[in-house]
Amino acid sequence: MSPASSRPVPAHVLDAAIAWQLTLDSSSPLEREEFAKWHAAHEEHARAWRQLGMLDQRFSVAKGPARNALLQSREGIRRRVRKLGSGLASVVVIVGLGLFASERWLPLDYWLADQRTATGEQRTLHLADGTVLNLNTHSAVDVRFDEKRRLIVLQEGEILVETGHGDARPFIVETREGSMRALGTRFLVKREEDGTRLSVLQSAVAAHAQANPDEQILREGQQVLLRSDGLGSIVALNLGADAWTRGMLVVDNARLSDLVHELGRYRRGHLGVAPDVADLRITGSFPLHDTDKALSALLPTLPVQIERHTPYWVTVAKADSKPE
Amino acid sequence: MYRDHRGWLLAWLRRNVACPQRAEDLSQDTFVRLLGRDEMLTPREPRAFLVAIAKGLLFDYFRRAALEQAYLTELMLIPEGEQPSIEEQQLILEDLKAIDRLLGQLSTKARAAFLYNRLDGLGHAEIAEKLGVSVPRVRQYLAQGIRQCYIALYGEPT
Repeated sequence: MSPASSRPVPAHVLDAAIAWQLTLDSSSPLEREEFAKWHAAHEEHARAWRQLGMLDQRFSVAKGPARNALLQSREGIRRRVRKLGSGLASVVVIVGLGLFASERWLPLDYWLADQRTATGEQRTLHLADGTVLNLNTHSAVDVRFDEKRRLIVLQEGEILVETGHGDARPFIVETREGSMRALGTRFLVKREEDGTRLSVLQSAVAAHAQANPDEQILREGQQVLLRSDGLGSIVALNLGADAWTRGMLVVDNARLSDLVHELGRYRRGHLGVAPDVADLRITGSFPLHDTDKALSALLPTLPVQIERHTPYWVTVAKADSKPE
Repeated sequence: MYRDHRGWLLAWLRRNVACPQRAEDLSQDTFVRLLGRDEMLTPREPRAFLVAIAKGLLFDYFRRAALEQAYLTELMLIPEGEQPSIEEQQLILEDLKAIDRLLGQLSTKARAAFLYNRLDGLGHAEIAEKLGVSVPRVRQYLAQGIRQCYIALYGEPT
């Protein structure tokens, strides 16, 4: 582009050119004729028109994924930034990105979090107070330490917390559903579809729901589901609840659909199970870092087969049903 | 100003971003932006002033990170064979960020209207319905969008 052709036009010419561009989106032949006259009337008119055309080319790159990325509302980001400095950064913004239908859609809180893991990734964080934080697959946390407290906000996924000793500030994990105060301890917090699951592996944790400040103490070997309106009943820990920290998934007499759902958290794309085998029961341990291998491990023990339509669309189906 | 408030600003940023390195960078950028101003004024409330600048930078940072993450997430939804190479992805991301900068000052609705029109080729009436505004308002949004892109690329009209 030569300097002359990129020189800005006078404001009234630009306004006219913009008005023409908007008109021509739905124009009559008569208008087109008028436009042609306008266009030919002055060098600046033609230049403005050319410049607007060049501008359009800028947007041609935005197709498919790029287009979708660009079109997302920025409201959530604005809201988050507005909140900065209010001291209430732990309040979780529930962002309306659910309207992007896909279950693989990552809510804004996930990608705005301080620390996050991708699907299939696990990571260990060593915090300043000596606390060790294990992030499971597709998880996101904010770390908010100040003079008064050590706060972890779990936005997505699952963490194992081993609190550091010798720090007087309370150690708190918050989720959308509630708050958990560590009493010198090792515990798991997992965001599930219907709430936050707290599993205490060592010592004790005081928990309360978001809408109810009454704390309940959970002891070693206990778990509970927190919903924002209250705590569920306290039951015994699932076997191997923390096996993921060693790269394994351990299930005991689990429904096949639950196992498959769990494995699906560690791989991209769709992992489904056919309804006619969903209720089969299975016991065993499965490697999380190779979910294909984990799926193959089902074959000797269950009457199922793995249907791989693409690497991104895999279904566990009944063995005798022929794949298409 | 730097001497008096640097520590305080850093603490503020740390509270909000938690990653110490990122807070450090943002704190530096805030003061650099301050130095870039023509008149070296001493504002009456220096901390509020610093926070205003830091918020602007944080906003940019979040926006870029969000856009990038959104794009990568979108890529996950398409089959591996159809995904652009890493180099192509980087180029597309650069373009996306450039577009995002072009549209920086638009309101959320104006931005959406503009993108529906340019990327999806939607007509004015369709956009009006989608956004729940009148057709003349959509034309206003589109004019704003075109004007802003024009100014970003060619400069203020004379």
